[in-house]
Amino acid sequence: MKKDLAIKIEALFLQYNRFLYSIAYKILNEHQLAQDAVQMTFVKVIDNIKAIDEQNSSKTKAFMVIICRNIAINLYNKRKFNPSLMLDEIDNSIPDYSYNPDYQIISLESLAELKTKIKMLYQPYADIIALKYIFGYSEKEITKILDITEQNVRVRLHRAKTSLMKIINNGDEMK
Amino acid sequence: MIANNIDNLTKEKLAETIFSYAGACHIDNINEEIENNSINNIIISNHKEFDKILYKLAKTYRRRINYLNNTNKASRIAAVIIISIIILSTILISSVDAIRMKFFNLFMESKEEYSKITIKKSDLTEDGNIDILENSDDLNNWYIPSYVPNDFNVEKIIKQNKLIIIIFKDSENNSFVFEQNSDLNREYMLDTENALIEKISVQGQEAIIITKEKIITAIWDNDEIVFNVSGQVSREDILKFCENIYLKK
Repeated sequence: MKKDLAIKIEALFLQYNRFLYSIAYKILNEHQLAQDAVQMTFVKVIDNIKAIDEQNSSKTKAFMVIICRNIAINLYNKRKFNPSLMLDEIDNSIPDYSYNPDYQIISLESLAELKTKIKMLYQPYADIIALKYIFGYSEKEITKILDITEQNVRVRLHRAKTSLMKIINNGDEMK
Repeated sequence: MIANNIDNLTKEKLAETIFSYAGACHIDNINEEIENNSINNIIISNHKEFDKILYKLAKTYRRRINYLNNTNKASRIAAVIIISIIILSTILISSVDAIRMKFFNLFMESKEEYSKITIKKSDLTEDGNIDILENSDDLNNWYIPSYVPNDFNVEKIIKQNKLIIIIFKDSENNSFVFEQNSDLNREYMLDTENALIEKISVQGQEAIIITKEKIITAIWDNDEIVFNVSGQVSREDILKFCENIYLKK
């Protein structure tokens, strides 16, 4: 069963490798590194094959993209091509709104527009929300998938939630 | 607007729902992005070479997965053999010529004094390779059932030189085993302590049914093959199963 799925994932991967390459290239701006990122994505997806139910589902494709993007960001950080754009620094540059559900007042209209609004969210933040709430990974599992520390996972997840709530509320400070 | 005076637990759940919805929206957006970006428009220098690299990588991984699968398969085979031996250890079957006498002798003895009897000769590997079959297509000239108790499906078919074992399992993990053995020199022993033993007729042949705790075993022969069915199923189902086996041509 898993063997069959692995073969199907392989086929899917070969089909979408250029798209994944383009994602990695946009971040890394270097051909060889982008190729490395795609290869590393393949290995990571196969290693996490237990989380994948179907070959051609939107979840599987999104999973590939999320993995690829985050691997590219990690590669970027490691090579320190432009330290000013390192993810950790980006993380730190976003104000912490101290998300607390006690204080939330959410407009249903805002919620309805979420599909459009979430595009405004910093993508690694949207990725981590998807990994946690759609793919159902624990924080510990996310550390392995994204190759970041558990502390970083917690911080990124917290900031992702905070930023998301801010976006839902049209950029207003939380009440 | 969502009320602000709801309890914290509800708010937490509401927040989780919003995050789940946001995650789903994000996945939708990624897929739209995939669809909207014409993959063919993305130019990779030496993309054919890159495809080759990925294909090679995929091949390496496929081999690794095959290796892991085979390792798991070997473990499963070992587990099945152990289970089969345990089940067989509750059964006495000797050569067809001697089966009734030997069986009944043991039965009498076991009623008087036996509490546990070990297998004398039941090494499943001694007569050659064991094959795990995917389905019953390769069971020509062997017996297969036309009735299987509700909810039970074939879990595994093990084929050896003179032996076929079909293992059935249901959704609650109850299992039973149907074994047919054309090796007339085999000798097994059983534990019949506190077991209920009855003589019945199966397909016109004399058979024995042994009920011990939740395990029911039926044993009979047709002068060429010794059959036994054993497992956690009802007596009625075992009887119906035994009556409905037929020779596959």
